[in-house]
Amino acid sequence: MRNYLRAEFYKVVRRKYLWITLAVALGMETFLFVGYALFHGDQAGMGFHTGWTNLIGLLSLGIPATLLTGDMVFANQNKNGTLKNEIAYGLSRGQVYWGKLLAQTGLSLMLCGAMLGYYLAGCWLLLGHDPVLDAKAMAQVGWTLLAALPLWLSAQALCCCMYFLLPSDLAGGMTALACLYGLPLMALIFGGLGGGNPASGLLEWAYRLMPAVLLDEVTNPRATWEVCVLAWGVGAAWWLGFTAIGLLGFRHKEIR
Amino acid sequence: MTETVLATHDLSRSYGRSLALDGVSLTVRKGDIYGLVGRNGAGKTTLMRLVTGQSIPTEGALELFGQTGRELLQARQRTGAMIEVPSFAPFLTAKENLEYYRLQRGIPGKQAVDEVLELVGLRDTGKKKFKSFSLGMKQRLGLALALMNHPDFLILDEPINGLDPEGVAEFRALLLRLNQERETTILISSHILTELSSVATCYGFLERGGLLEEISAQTLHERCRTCLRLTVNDAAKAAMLLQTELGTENFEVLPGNVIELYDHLDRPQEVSGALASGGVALLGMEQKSADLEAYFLKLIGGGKQ
Repeated sequence: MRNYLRAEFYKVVRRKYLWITLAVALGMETFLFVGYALFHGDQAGMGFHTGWTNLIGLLSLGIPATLLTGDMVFANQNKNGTLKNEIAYGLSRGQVYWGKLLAQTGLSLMLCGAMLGYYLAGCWLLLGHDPVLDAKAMAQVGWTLLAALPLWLSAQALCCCMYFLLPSDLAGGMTALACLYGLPLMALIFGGLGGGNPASGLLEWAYRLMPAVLLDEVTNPRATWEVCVLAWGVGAAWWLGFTAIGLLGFRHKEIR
Repeated sequence: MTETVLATHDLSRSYGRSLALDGVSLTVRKGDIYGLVGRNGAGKTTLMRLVTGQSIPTEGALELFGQTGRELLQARQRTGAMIEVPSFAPFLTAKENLEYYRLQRGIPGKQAVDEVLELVGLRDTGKKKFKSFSLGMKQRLGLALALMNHPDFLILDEPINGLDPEGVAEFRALLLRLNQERETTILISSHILTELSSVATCYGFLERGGLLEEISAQTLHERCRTCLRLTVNDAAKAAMLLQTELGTENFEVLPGNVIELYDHLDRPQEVSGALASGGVALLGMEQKSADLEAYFLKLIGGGKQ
Protein backbone atom coordinates (compact mmCIF):
# COMPACT_ATOMS: atom_id res chain seq x y z
CA MET A 1 0.00 0.00 0.00
CA ARG A 2 2.91 2.35 0.70
CA ASN A 3 4.12 1.91 -2.87
CA TYR A 4 0.64 2.46 -4.18
CA LEU A 5 0.20 5.71 -2.27
CA ARG A 6 3.65 6.95 -3.29
CA ALA A 7 2.70 6.37 -6.92
CA GLU A 8 -0.65 8.13 -6.56
CA PHE A 9 0.97 11.20 -5.02
CA TYR A 10 3.71 11.14 -7.66
CA LYS A 11 0.97 11.33 -10.28
CA VAL A 12 -1.29 13.86 -8.60
CA VAL A 13 1.42 16.45 -7.92
CA ARG A 14 2.16 16.42 -11.64
CA ARG A 15 -1.35 17.57 -12.48
CA LYS A 16 -1.56 21.30 -13.27
CA TYR A 17 -5.19 21.07 -12.29
CA LEU A 18 -4.17 20.49 -8.63
CA TRP A 19 -1.97 23.57 -8.50
CA ILE A 20 -4.45 25.77 -10.36
CA THR A 21 -7.25 24.73 -7.99
CA LEU A 22 -5.06 25.36 -4.96
CA ALA A 23 -3.92 28.73 -6.33
CA VAL A 24 -7.53 29.81 -6.95
CA ALA A 25 -8.58 28.73 -3.44
CA LEU A 26 -5.65 30.49 -1.78
CA GLY A 27 -6.25 33.56 -3.96
CA MET A 28 -9.85 33.75 -2.75
CA GLU A 29 -8.72 33.39 0.84
CA THR A 30 -6.19 36.18 0.32
CA PHE A 31 -8.96 38.31 -1.09
CA LEU A 32 -10.96 37.66 2.08
CA PHE A 33 -8.38 38.38 4.77
CA VAL A 34 -6.77 41.26 2.90
CA GLY A 35 -10.26 42.65 2.34
CA TYR A 36 -11.01 42.38 6.06
CA ALA A 37 -7.75 44.10 6.91
CA LEU A 38 -8.10 46.90 4.36
CA PHE A 39 -11.78 47.72 4.57
CA HIS A 40 -12.89 46.59 8.02
CA GLY A 41 -9.68 46.64 10.05
CA ASP A 42 -10.61 49.92 11.71
CA GLN A 43 -14.14 48.79 12.64
CA ALA A 44 -14.91 47.82 16.20
CA GLY A 45 -15.23 44.03 16.60
CA MET A 46 -13.41 43.22 13.36
CA GLY A 47 -10.35 41.36 14.52
CA PHE A 48 -8.77 37.96 14.13
CA HIS A 49 -11.65 36.27 15.94
CA THR A 50 -14.20 37.56 13.42
CA GLY A 51 -12.10 36.81 10.37
CA TRP A 52 -11.31 33.35 11.62
CA THR A 53 -14.89 32.42 12.58
CA ASN A 54 -16.11 33.72 9.21
CA LEU A 55 -14.37 30.65 7.84
CA ILE A 56 -17.14 28.47 9.28
CA GLY A 57 -19.54 29.75 6.64
CA LEU A 58 -17.21 28.38 3.95
CA LEU A 59 -16.89 24.88 5.35
CA SER A 60 -19.91 23.62 3.43
CA LEU A 61 -17.72 23.94 0.30
CA GLY A 62 -15.82 20.94 1.64
CA ILE A 63 -18.47 18.60 0.23
CA PRO A 64 -18.36 19.68 -3.43
CA ALA A 65 -14.55 19.96 -3.10
CA THR A 66 -14.39 16.17 -2.67
CA LEU A 67 -15.49 15.84 -6.30
CA LEU A 68 -12.34 17.68 -7.34
CA THR A 69 -9.94 15.84 -5.05
CA GLY A 70 -11.50 12.53 -6.09
CA ASP A 71 -11.05 13.39 -9.74
CA MET A 72 -7.48 14.63 -9.23
CA VAL A 73 -6.48 11.20 -7.93
CA PHE A 74 -8.74 8.96 -10.00
CA ALA A 75 -7.81 10.90 -13.14
CA ASN A 76 -10.59 9.46 -15.30
CA GLN A 77 -9.01 6.00 -15.17
CA ASN A 78 -12.14 4.26 -16.44
CA LYS A 79 -12.31 6.47 -19.52
CA ASN A 80 -8.55 6.39 -20.07
CA GLY A 81 -8.51 2.61 -19.61
CA THR A 82 -5.55 2.68 -17.23
CA LEU A 83 -6.99 0.49 -14.46
CA LYS A 84 -6.09 -2.54 -16.59
CA ASN A 85 -2.37 -1.74 -16.11
CA GLU A 86 -2.84 -2.14 -12.36
CA ILE A 87 -5.06 -5.21 -12.39
CA ALA A 88 -3.03 -7.06 -15.03
CA TYR A 89 0.07 -6.72 -12.86
CA GLY A 90 -1.60 -8.64 -10.05
CA LEU A 91 -2.71 -5.87 -7.72
CA SER A 92 -5.91 -7.00 -6.08
CA ARG A 93 -9.04 -5.02 -6.81
CA GLY A 94 -9.39 -4.32 -3.09
CA GLN A 95 -5.86 -2.92 -2.97
CA VAL A 96 -6.57 -0.67 -5.95
CA TYR A 97 -9.83 0.59 -4.43
CA TRP A 98 -8.41 1.22 -0.96
CA GLY A 99 -5.31 2.80 -2.48
CA LYS A 100 -7.35 5.34 -4.44
CA LEU A 101 -9.69 6.05 -1.53
CA LEU A 102 -6.79 6.61 0.86
CA ALA A 103 -4.98 8.79 -1.67
CA GLN A 104 -8.11 10.88 -2.28
CA THR A 105 -8.69 11.26 1.46
CA GLY A 106 -5.05 12.08 2.09
CA LEU A 107 -5.04 14.69 -0.67
CA SER A 108 -8.27 16.23 0.63
CA LEU A 109 -6.86 16.49 4.14
CA MET A 110 -3.59 17.96 2.90
CA LEU A 111 -5.34 20.57 0.78
CA CYS A 112 -7.70 21.33 3.63
CA GLY A 113 -4.74 21.73 5.97
CA ALA A 114 -2.93 23.99 3.51
CA MET A 115 -5.97 26.21 3.00
CA LEU A 116 -6.81 26.41 6.70
CA GLY A 117 -3.19 27.08 7.60
CA TYR A 118 -2.88 29.82 4.99
CA TYR A 119 -6.13 31.49 6.04
CA LEU A 120 -5.19 31.25 9.70
CA ALA A 121 -1.77 32.78 9.04
CA GLY A 122 -3.28 35.57 6.93
CA CYS A 123 -5.89 36.47 9.52
CA TRP A 124 -3.38 36.15 12.34
CA LEU A 125 -0.89 38.48 10.71
CA LEU A 126 -3.26 41.11 9.33
CA LEU A 127 -6.06 41.36 11.87
CA GLY A 128 -6.13 42.65 15.44
CA HIS A 129 -6.07 40.34 18.44
CA ASP A 130 -8.02 39.92 21.66
CA PRO A 131 -6.69 36.92 23.61
CA VAL A 132 -10.07 35.92 25.06
CA LEU A 133 -12.03 36.28 21.83
CA ASP A 134 -9.23 34.65 19.82
CA ALA A 135 -9.28 31.59 22.05
CA LYS A 136 -13.05 31.39 21.73
CA ALA A 137 -12.83 31.66 17.94
CA MET A 138 -10.18 28.94 17.77
CA ALA A 139 -12.34 26.64 19.88
CA GLN A 140 -15.44 27.35 17.79
CA VAL A 141 -13.69 26.69 14.47
CA GLY A 142 -12.01 23.60 15.93
CA TRP A 143 -15.33 22.24 17.11
CA THR A 144 -16.95 22.85 13.70
CA LEU A 145 -14.06 21.21 11.89
CA LEU A 146 -14.35 18.19 14.17
CA ALA A 147 -18.05 17.84 13.37
CA ALA A 148 -17.62 18.56 9.64
CA LEU A 149 -14.77 16.09 9.12
CA PRO A 150 -16.86 12.85 9.03
CA LEU A 151 -19.31 14.46 6.62
CA TRP A 152 -16.52 15.46 4.24
CA LEU A 153 -15.02 11.98 4.48
CA SER A 154 -18.38 10.40 3.70
CA ALA A 155 -18.69 12.63 0.61
CA GLN A 156 -15.20 11.53 -0.41
CA ALA A 157 -16.17 7.86 -0.09
CA LEU A 158 -19.28 8.49 -2.19
CA CYS A 159 -17.24 10.23 -4.93
CA CYS A 160 -14.66 7.44 -4.93
CA CYS A 161 -17.41 4.85 -5.31
CA MET A 162 -18.99 6.72 -8.22
CA TYR A 163 -15.68 7.30 -10.01
CA PHE A 164 -14.90 3.59 -9.79
CA LEU A 165 -18.28 2.32 -10.87
CA LEU A 166 -19.31 4.76 -13.59
CA PRO A 167 -17.72 4.97 -17.02
CA SER A 168 -16.21 8.45 -16.68
CA ASP A 169 -15.34 10.97 -14.00
CA LEU A 170 -17.94 13.34 -15.44
CA ALA A 171 -20.69 10.74 -15.02
CA GLY A 172 -19.34 9.78 -11.58
CA GLY A 173 -19.13 13.39 -10.46
CA MET A 174 -22.64 14.23 -11.67
CA THR A 175 -24.07 11.17 -9.93
CA ALA A 176 -22.23 12.00 -6.72
CA LEU A 177 -23.58 15.56 -6.88
CA ALA A 178 -27.09 14.20 -7.45
CA CYS A 179 -26.72 11.99 -4.37
CA LEU A 180 -25.30 14.76 -2.21
CA TYR A 181 -27.65 17.57 -3.20
CA GLY A 182 -30.44 16.00 -5.27
CA LEU A 183 -31.48 13.41 -2.69
CA PRO A 184 -31.98 15.96 0.13
CA LEU A 185 -33.96 18.15 -2.24
CA MET A 186 -36.18 15.24 -3.24
CA ALA A 187 -36.62 14.19 0.40
CA LEU A 188 -37.59 17.75 1.25
CA ILE A 189 -40.04 18.13 -1.61
CA PHE A 190 -41.73 14.73 -1.28
CA GLY A 191 -41.63 14.88 2.53
CA GLY A 192 -43.39 18.24 2.41
CA LEU A 193 -45.97 16.95 -0.07
CA GLY A 194 -46.89 14.00 2.13
CA GLY A 195 -48.91 16.05 4.61
CA GLY A 196 -47.95 14.19 7.75
CA ASN A 197 -48.35 10.58 6.59
CA PRO A 198 -45.74 7.99 7.74
CA ALA A 199 -43.82 8.08 4.43
CA SER A 200 -43.54 11.83 4.66
CA GLY A 201 -42.24 11.53 8.22
CA LEU A 202 -39.67 9.02 7.04
CA LEU A 203 -38.53 11.34 4.26
CA GLU A 204 -38.23 14.26 6.65
CA TRP A 205 -36.14 12.04 8.93
CA ALA A 206 -34.01 10.92 5.97
CA TYR A 207 -33.54 14.57 4.95
CA ARG A 208 -31.80 15.28 8.24
CA LEU A 209 -29.42 12.38 7.67
CA MET A 210 -27.98 13.74 4.43
CA PRO A 211 -24.36 14.94 4.80
CA ALA A 212 -24.97 18.24 3.00
CA VAL A 213 -27.95 19.04 5.24
CA LEU A 214 -26.16 18.00 8.38
CA LEU A 215 -23.15 20.11 7.43
CA ASP A 216 -25.39 23.18 7.42
CA GLU A 217 -26.51 22.26 10.94
CA VAL A 218 -22.94 21.71 12.04
CA THR A 219 -21.88 25.16 10.84
CA ASN A 220 -24.67 26.81 12.82
CA PRO A 221 -23.08 28.59 15.82
CA ARG A 222 -25.80 27.16 18.05
CA ALA A 223 -25.02 23.53 17.11
CA THR A 224 -24.73 21.18 20.07
CA TRP A 225 -22.60 18.14 20.84
CA GLU A 226 -25.58 15.98 19.85
CA VAL A 227 -25.24 17.36 16.34
CA CYS A 228 -21.55 16.52 16.37
CA VAL A 229 -22.28 12.93 17.46
CA LEU A 230 -25.00 12.68 14.82
CA ALA A 231 -22.55 13.98 12.18
CA TRP A 232 -20.05 11.27 13.11
CA GLY A 233 -22.76 8.59 13.04
CA VAL A 234 -24.16 9.71 9.70
CA GLY A 235 -20.69 10.22 8.25
CA ALA A 236 -19.62 6.73 9.32
CA ALA A 237 -22.79 5.15 7.91
CA TRP A 238 -22.45 6.89 4.53
CA TRP A 239 -18.75 6.14 4.40
CA LEU A 240 -19.25 2.46 5.20
CA GLY A 241 -22.22 2.13 2.87
CA PHE A 242 -20.60 3.68 -0.18
CA THR A 243 -17.25 2.03 0.44
CA ALA A 244 -18.99 -1.36 0.61
CA ILE A 245 -20.96 -0.63 -2.59
CA GLY A 246 -17.79 0.55 -4.33
CA LEU A 247 -15.74 -2.47 -3.27
CA LEU A 248 -18.44 -4.97 -4.22
CA GLY A 249 -19.19 -3.26 -7.51
CA PHE A 250 -15.53 -2.99 -8.44
CA ARG A 251 -14.89 -6.63 -7.56
CA HIS A 252 -17.18 -7.72 -10.39
CA LYS A 253 -16.51 -4.87 -12.79
CA GLU A 254 -15.17 -5.58 -16.26
CA ILE A 255 -11.96 -3.59 -16.62
CA ARG A 256 -11.54 -2.04 -20.06
CA MET B 1 8.78 -32.23 -18.48
CA THR B 2 8.50 -28.60 -19.58
CA GLU B 3 6.91 -26.28 -17.04
CA THR B 4 3.40 -25.15 -17.83
CA VAL B 5 3.12 -21.38 -17.71
CA LEU B 6 -0.55 -21.05 -18.54
CA ALA B 7 -3.26 -23.67 -18.53
CA THR B 8 -6.93 -22.93 -18.96
CA HIS B 9 -9.58 -25.50 -18.16
CA ASP B 10 -12.97 -25.15 -19.88
CA LEU B 11 -12.68 -21.41 -19.56
CA SER B 12 -15.87 -19.57 -20.51
CA ARG B 13 -16.99 -15.99 -20.43
CA SER B 14 -20.42 -14.78 -21.42
CA TYR B 15 -21.89 -11.30 -21.63
CA GLY B 16 -25.62 -11.63 -21.21
CA ARG B 17 -26.67 -14.24 -23.75
CA SER B 18 -23.59 -13.82 -25.85
CA LEU B 19 -20.85 -16.37 -25.25
CA ALA B 20 -17.51 -14.67 -25.87
CA LEU B 21 -15.42 -17.67 -24.84
CA ASP B 22 -16.75 -21.19 -24.79
CA GLY B 23 -14.97 -23.85 -22.74
CA VAL B 24 -11.43 -23.13 -23.89
CA SER B 25 -8.71 -25.46 -22.61
CA LEU B 26 -5.25 -24.57 -23.78
CA THR B 27 -1.72 -24.95 -22.52
CA VAL B 28 1.23 -22.61 -22.92
CA ARG B 29 4.55 -24.12 -21.92
CA LYS B 30 7.71 -22.40 -20.79
CA GLY B 31 9.66 -21.03 -23.73
CA ASP B 32 6.71 -21.09 -26.12
CA ILE B 33 5.80 -18.22 -28.37
CA TYR B 34 2.14 -19.06 -28.56
CA GLY B 35 0.28 -17.44 -31.44
CA LEU B 36 -3.45 -16.92 -30.96
CA VAL B 37 -5.17 -16.90 -34.32
CA GLY B 38 -8.79 -16.00 -34.90
CA ARG B 39 -11.14 -13.62 -36.61
CA ASN B 40 -12.44 -10.45 -34.97
CA GLY B 41 -14.70 -11.51 -32.12
CA ALA B 42 -13.28 -15.03 -32.01
CA GLY B 43 -12.38 -14.61 -28.33
CA LYS B 44 -8.65 -13.84 -28.43
CA THR B 45 -8.85 -10.60 -26.44
CA THR B 46 -11.45 -12.07 -24.07
CA LEU B 47 -9.07 -14.93 -23.31
CA MET B 48 -6.21 -12.52 -22.64
CA ARG B 49 -8.41 -10.32 -20.47
CA LEU B 50 -9.33 -13.37 -18.39
CA VAL B 51 -5.69 -14.31 -17.99
CA THR B 52 -4.79 -10.79 -16.83
CA GLY B 53 -7.72 -10.56 -14.42
CA GLN B 54 -9.49 -7.74 -16.25
CA SER B 55 -12.47 -9.99 -16.71
CA ILE B 56 -13.83 -12.73 -14.51
CA PRO B 57 -14.64 -16.19 -15.96
CA THR B 58 -18.25 -17.29 -15.88
CA GLU B 59 -17.08 -20.91 -15.85
CA GLY B 60 -13.85 -22.85 -15.81
CA ALA B 61 -10.51 -22.10 -14.28
CA LEU B 62 -7.05 -20.95 -15.18
CA GLU B 63 -3.61 -21.70 -13.81
CA LEU B 64 -0.69 -19.33 -14.14
CA PHE B 65 2.70 -20.77 -13.21
CA GLY B 66 0.73 -23.55 -11.50
CA GLN B 67 -1.13 -21.07 -9.27
CA THR B 68 -4.88 -20.67 -9.01
CA GLY B 69 -7.36 -18.66 -6.92
CA ARG B 70 -5.86 -15.91 -4.75
CA GLU B 71 -2.36 -17.10 -5.66
CA LEU B 72 -3.02 -15.90 -9.20
CA LEU B 73 -2.34 -12.34 -8.03
CA GLN B 74 1.23 -13.30 -7.13
CA ALA B 75 1.65 -15.20 -10.38
CA ARG B 76 0.46 -12.17 -12.39
CA GLN B 77 3.40 -10.20 -11.02
CA ARG B 78 5.61 -12.44 -13.16
CA THR B 79 3.74 -11.35 -16.28
CA GLY B 80 3.75 -8.31 -18.52
CA ALA B 81 0.73 -7.50 -20.61
CA MET B 82 -0.42 -5.23 -23.36
CA ILE B 83 -4.11 -5.80 -24.07
CA GLU B 84 -6.03 -3.84 -26.70
CA VAL B 85 -4.88 -0.20 -26.99
CA PRO B 86 -2.05 0.93 -24.69
CA SER B 87 -3.53 3.19 -22.02
CA PHE B 88 -1.71 5.73 -19.91
CA ALA B 89 -2.38 8.98 -18.08
CA PRO B 90 -2.66 11.53 -20.93
CA PHE B 91 -1.21 14.38 -18.88
CA LEU B 92 2.08 12.61 -18.10
CA THR B 93 5.15 12.04 -20.28
CA ALA B 94 6.42 8.58 -21.22
CA LYS B 95 8.97 8.66 -18.42
CA GLU B 96 6.50 9.94 -15.83
CA ASN B 97 3.95 7.32 -16.77
CA LEU B 98 6.48 4.53 -16.37
CA GLU B 99 7.83 6.02 -13.15
CA TYR B 100 4.27 6.00 -11.78
CA TYR B 101 3.95 2.27 -12.45
CA ARG B 102 7.50 1.59 -11.23
CA LEU B 103 6.64 3.18 -7.88
CA GLN B 104 3.30 1.41 -7.73
CA ARG B 105 4.88 -1.97 -8.42
CA GLY B 106 7.81 -1.39 -6.11
CA ILE B 107 10.37 -2.06 -8.86
CA PRO B 108 13.74 -1.00 -7.43
CA GLY B 109 16.01 1.49 -9.22
CA LYS B 110 14.97 4.54 -11.21
CA GLN B 111 17.19 3.35 -14.07
CA ALA B 112 14.62 0.62 -14.83
CA VAL B 113 12.53 3.27 -16.56
CA ASP B 114 15.38 4.65 -18.70
CA GLU B 115 16.51 1.15 -19.65
CA VAL B 116 13.12 0.06 -20.87
CA LEU B 117 12.53 3.35 -22.72
CA GLU B 118 15.85 2.83 -24.45
CA LEU B 119 14.86 -0.73 -25.33
CA VAL B 120 11.67 0.38 -27.11
CA GLY B 121 13.19 3.48 -28.69
CA LEU B 122 11.35 6.11 -26.66
CA ARG B 123 14.33 7.58 -24.81
CA ASP B 124 14.11 10.95 -26.55
CA THR B 125 10.46 11.86 -26.17
CA GLY B 126 11.33 14.47 -23.53
CA LYS B 127 8.41 16.49 -22.22
CA LYS B 128 5.94 15.29 -24.81
CA LYS B 129 2.76 14.15 -23.06
CA PHE B 130 1.18 10.78 -23.77
CA LYS B 131 -1.89 12.50 -25.26
CA SER B 132 0.32 13.84 -28.09
CA PHE B 133 1.87 10.47 -28.93
CA SER B 134 1.34 8.77 -32.29
CA LEU B 135 -0.22 5.30 -32.31
CA GLY B 136 3.20 3.75 -32.86
CA MET B 137 4.68 5.61 -29.90
CA LYS B 138 1.76 4.52 -27.74
CA GLN B 139 2.37 0.90 -28.76
CA ARG B 140 6.04 1.23 -27.86
CA LEU B 141 5.19 2.68 -24.46
CA GLY B 142 2.69 -0.13 -23.87
CA LEU B 143 5.42 -2.61 -24.67
CA ALA B 144 7.84 -0.77 -22.35
CA LEU B 145 5.40 -1.13 -19.46
CA ALA B 146 4.90 -4.81 -20.24
CA LEU B 147 8.68 -5.34 -20.14
CA MET B 148 9.59 -3.13 -17.19
CA ASN B 149 9.36 -5.87 -14.54
CA HIS B 150 11.37 -8.38 -16.63
CA PRO B 151 8.38 -10.72 -16.97
CA ASP B 152 8.63 -14.47 -17.36
CA PHE B 153 5.41 -14.42 -19.37
CA LEU B 154 4.42 -11.74 -21.88
CA ILE B 155 0.83 -11.36 -23.02
CA LEU B 156 0.53 -9.23 -26.15
CA ASP B 157 -2.68 -8.44 -27.96
CA GLU B 158 -2.14 -7.09 -31.47
CA PRO B 159 1.19 -5.57 -30.44
CA ILE B 160 2.33 -4.40 -33.87
CA ASN B 161 -0.74 -2.29 -34.64
CA GLY B 162 0.43 1.15 -35.63
CA LEU B 163 4.13 0.28 -35.82
CA ASP B 164 6.05 1.34 -38.94
CA PRO B 165 7.90 -1.37 -40.92
CA GLU B 166 11.13 -0.62 -39.07
CA GLY B 167 9.28 -0.83 -35.77
CA VAL B 168 7.75 -4.17 -36.77
CA ALA B 169 11.17 -5.60 -37.60
CA GLU B 170 12.64 -4.29 -34.32
CA PHE B 171 9.71 -5.68 -32.41
CA ARG B 172 10.07 -9.10 -34.03
CA ALA B 173 13.79 -9.16 -33.20
CA LEU B 174 13.06 -8.07 -29.62
CA LEU B 175 10.52 -10.84 -29.09
CA LEU B 176 12.88 -13.47 -30.42
CA ARG B 177 15.72 -12.11 -28.28
CA LEU B 178 13.58 -12.14 -25.12
CA ASN B 179 12.44 -15.64 -25.90
CA GLN B 180 15.89 -16.98 -26.62
CA GLU B 181 18.00 -15.08 -24.10
CA ARG B 182 15.63 -14.74 -21.15
CA GLU B 183 13.41 -17.73 -21.94
CA THR B 184 10.42 -15.40 -21.81
CA THR B 185 7.23 -17.22 -22.70
CA ILE B 186 4.97 -15.20 -24.97
CA LEU B 187 1.27 -15.34 -25.74
CA ILE B 188 0.61 -13.15 -28.76
CA SER B 189 -2.29 -12.41 -31.05
CA SER B 190 -2.06 -10.62 -34.34
CA HIS B 191 -4.15 -10.19 -37.44
CA ILE B 192 -0.98 -10.06 -39.48
CA LEU B 193 -0.49 -13.79 -39.79
CA THR B 194 2.74 -13.55 -41.75
CA GLU B 195 4.26 -11.70 -38.79
CA LEU B 196 2.85 -14.22 -36.36
CA SER B 197 4.23 -17.11 -38.35
CA SER B 198 7.70 -15.55 -38.27
CA VAL B 199 7.91 -15.80 -34.47
CA ALA B 200 5.37 -18.33 -33.14
CA THR B 201 6.45 -21.78 -32.02
CA CYS B 202 2.90 -23.01 -31.53
CA TYR B 203 -0.59 -21.89 -32.36
CA GLY B 204 -4.09 -21.93 -30.96
CA PHE B 205 -6.91 -21.34 -33.44
CA LEU B 206 -10.02 -19.72 -32.00
CA GLU B 207 -13.36 -19.45 -33.71
CA ARG B 208 -16.63 -18.20 -32.21
CA GLY B 209 -15.22 -18.41 -28.70
CA GLY B 210 -14.07 -22.03 -29.03
CA LEU B 211 -10.59 -23.46 -29.47
CA LEU B 212 -10.55 -25.32 -32.79
CA GLU B 213 -7.03 -26.65 -32.63
CA GLU B 214 -3.71 -26.30 -30.84
CA ILE B 215 -0.66 -27.27 -32.84
CA SER B 216 3.07 -26.72 -32.86
CA ALA B 217 4.71 -24.64 -35.58
CA GLN B 218 6.49 -27.79 -36.75
CA THR B 219 3.23 -29.67 -37.21
CA LEU B 220 1.73 -26.67 -38.95
CA HIS B 221 4.73 -26.50 -41.23
CA GLU B 222 4.31 -30.17 -42.11
CA ARG B 223 0.65 -29.67 -42.79
CA CYS B 224 1.26 -26.61 -44.90
CA ARG B 225 4.17 -28.01 -46.85
CA THR B 226 4.31 -27.57 -50.55
CA CYS B 227 3.19 -30.47 -52.72
CA LEU B 228 2.52 -31.47 -56.28
CA ARG B 229 -1.18 -31.99 -56.76
CA LEU B 230 -1.72 -34.64 -59.41
CA THR B 231 -5.06 -35.41 -61.02
CA VAL B 232 -4.98 -38.80 -62.77
CA ASN B 233 -7.39 -41.26 -64.34
CA ASP B 234 -6.42 -44.12 -61.97
CA ALA B 235 -5.15 -43.10 -58.54
CA ALA B 236 -4.44 -46.64 -57.29
CA LYS B 237 -2.24 -47.45 -60.25
CA ALA B 238 -0.56 -44.05 -60.06
CA ALA B 239 0.24 -44.62 -56.39
CA MET B 240 1.84 -47.94 -57.22
CA LEU B 241 3.92 -46.32 -59.96
CA LEU B 242 5.11 -43.56 -57.63
CA GLN B 243 6.34 -46.25 -55.25
CA THR B 244 7.96 -48.49 -57.83
CA GLU B 245 9.26 -45.99 -60.41
CA LEU B 246 10.16 -43.02 -58.14
CA GLY B 247 10.72 -44.96 -54.93
CA THR B 248 8.61 -42.59 -52.79
CA GLU B 249 5.84 -43.12 -50.30
CA ASN B 250 5.69 -39.47 -49.39
CA PHE B 251 2.25 -38.83 -50.88
CA GLU B 252 -1.41 -38.88 -49.98
CA VAL B 253 -4.24 -40.26 -52.10
CA LEU B 254 -7.29 -38.04 -51.91
CA PRO B 255 -10.81 -38.59 -53.22
CA GLY B 256 -11.46 -37.80 -56.88
CA ASN B 257 -8.30 -39.49 -58.24
CA VAL B 258 -6.14 -36.80 -56.72
CA ILE B 259 -2.70 -37.45 -55.28
CA GLU B 260 -0.67 -34.95 -53.26
CA LEU B 261 3.04 -35.71 -53.65
CA TYR B 262 5.36 -34.09 -51.09
CA ASP B 263 8.70 -34.69 -52.83
CA HIS B 264 10.07 -34.48 -56.38
CA LEU B 265 8.81 -30.89 -56.28
CA ASP B 266 11.57 -29.67 -58.55
CA ARG B 267 11.34 -32.66 -60.93
CA PRO B 268 7.79 -32.67 -62.28
CA GLN B 269 8.92 -34.16 -65.62
CA GLU B 270 10.19 -37.29 -63.80
CA VAL B 271 6.79 -37.65 -62.17
CA SER B 272 4.89 -37.28 -65.42
CA GLY B 273 7.32 -39.70 -67.15
CA ALA B 274 6.87 -42.33 -64.44
CA LEU B 275 3.09 -42.14 -64.67
CA ALA B 276 3.13 -42.20 -68.47
CA SER B 277 5.40 -45.25 -68.47
CA GLY B 278 2.74 -47.16 -66.52
CA GLY B 279 -0.08 -46.02 -68.78
CA VAL B 280 -1.61 -43.57 -66.30
CA ALA B 281 -3.06 -40.45 -67.85
CA LEU B 282 -2.01 -37.29 -66.07
CA LEU B 283 -5.01 -34.97 -66.29
CA GLY B 284 -3.53 -32.16 -64.26
CA MET B 285 -0.51 -31.19 -62.23
CA GLU B 286 -0.08 -28.09 -60.07
CA GLN B 287 2.16 -27.02 -57.30
CA LYS B 288 0.33 -26.36 -54.07
CA SER B 289 1.47 -24.60 -50.94
CA ALA B 290 -0.31 -23.25 -47.93
CA ASP B 291 0.66 -20.65 -45.39
CA LEU B 292 -0.72 -19.91 -41.93
CA GLU B 293 -3.46 -17.81 -43.44
CA ALA B 294 -4.58 -20.49 -45.86
CA TYR B 295 -4.43 -23.11 -43.13
CA PHE B 296 -6.52 -20.92 -40.83
CA LEU B 297 -9.10 -20.20 -43.53
CA LYS B 298 -9.34 -23.90 -44.32
CA LEU B 299 -9.74 -24.69 -40.63
CA ILE B 300 -12.59 -22.26 -40.10
CA GLY B 301 -14.15 -23.07 -43.46
CA GLY B 302 -13.53 -19.52 -44.65
CA GLY B 303 -11.65 -20.71 -47.70
CA LYS B 304 -14.95 -21.28 -49.46
CA GLN B 305 -15.96 -17.68 -48.98
